Amino acid sequence: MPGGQGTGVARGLTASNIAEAIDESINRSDGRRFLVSVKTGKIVHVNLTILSHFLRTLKGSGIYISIDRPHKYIELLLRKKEIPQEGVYYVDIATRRSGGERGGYSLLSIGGFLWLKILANTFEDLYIANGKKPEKVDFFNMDFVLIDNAAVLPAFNSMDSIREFFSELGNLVRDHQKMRTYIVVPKDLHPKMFETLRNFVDQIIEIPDEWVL
Amino acid sequence: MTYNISRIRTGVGGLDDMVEGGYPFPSSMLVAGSAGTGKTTLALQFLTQGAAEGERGIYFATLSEPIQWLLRFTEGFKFMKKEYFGEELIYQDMGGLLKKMGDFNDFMKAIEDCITEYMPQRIVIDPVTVLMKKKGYREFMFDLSLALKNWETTTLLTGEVQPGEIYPVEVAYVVDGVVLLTSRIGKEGSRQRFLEILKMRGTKHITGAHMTSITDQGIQVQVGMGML
Repeated sequence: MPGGQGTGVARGLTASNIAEAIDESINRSDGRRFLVSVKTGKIVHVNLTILSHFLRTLKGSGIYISIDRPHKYIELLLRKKEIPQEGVYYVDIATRRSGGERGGYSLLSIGGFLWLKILANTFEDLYIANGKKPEKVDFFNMDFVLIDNAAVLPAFNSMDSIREFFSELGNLVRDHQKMRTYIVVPKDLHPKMFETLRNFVDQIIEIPDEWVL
Repeated sequence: MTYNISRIRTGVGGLDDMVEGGYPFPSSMLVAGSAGTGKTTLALQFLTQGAAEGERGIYFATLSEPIQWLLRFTEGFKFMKKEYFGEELIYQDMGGLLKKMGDFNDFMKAIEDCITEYMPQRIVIDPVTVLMKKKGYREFMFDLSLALKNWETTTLLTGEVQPGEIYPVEVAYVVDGVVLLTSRIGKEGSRQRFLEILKMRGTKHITGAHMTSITDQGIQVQVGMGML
């Protein structure tokens, strides 16, 4: 059973119960924002597991925010693993920043130094647009927001803007009972950033690195 | 605020101490040297170190050497455990593809197919310099280095050093680190081997050529000894 009240730390998970931990996070009534702590080398596995569970097992939908690497990598990975992508809306920050190519699925690419503010506004716009642009995003009916990898945010943003972003994100999803937010970070990459993010989540899900090769 | 660059242990005795605890993760490294200096041994130590720590590695062989020959020649090393192969370590023969491929897109696709199937933390391409004969090699090396990092891996590319060159320049300029393996005849007339860190981005590293020995534990760096 991962965690308890508040920001309890979940321990002892194995490969087979990552999905169980996600199910438990979905069923919680006292928290909807989760900091997923992983070993650096396992972040792709964990992102894949979370996406697979929501998109294939639960047939859900949500937003994948790609910060550290162009989203085409996770898109290719999902395709190879035959995980349906109709339910995922990519917000790709890394591609624009690195000048890469844009992919084929629903994609919003955001660039510029102030992109965190732009990103927050984008979420707000999605809220406002809900119902008016049904062909694009049904934000209120989504199940998750997955942020990969928040530990690199300080390289491009001030800590004030980072706090502001996560505060605004929390405000946006606060009244949305269904949506869960997962901030996936390697704990060892930026310990101070990890501590900052603890203030914006309801629980930490700690993934032990031995869960899968 | 500052980042802790994640490190991945090299598996080579003494080398971790020269590079703040290990190679950066993710990153791409060139291990350069002439024949017999220990490039493949160093690369296998890197992969088996990961296997011992529960990480998966892929060994891309570009010369079509059958795996049984690789295992036969390395069975004297205690770090080589056959049980790693097939689970923690994946051996992928790329030689056949290299002979028939039209351009580097085929090679890149084959590598990405393998990465998405096995999702490794460690990769070795041994040797990468056989690709130099193909047109578009320089651009490919840049794309490959970037892609491997985006796949969240640390990759060792081994490179054969040609007479008159220090290291394969076309590879060295795109990678994050260069480990040079050399040898020379010592005063006693015996051949001595050396390891030198020429480049290691984001890492305080110990410079100079340090003497190495190859034992049943693989390559061991005697840091500070026999420095050139």
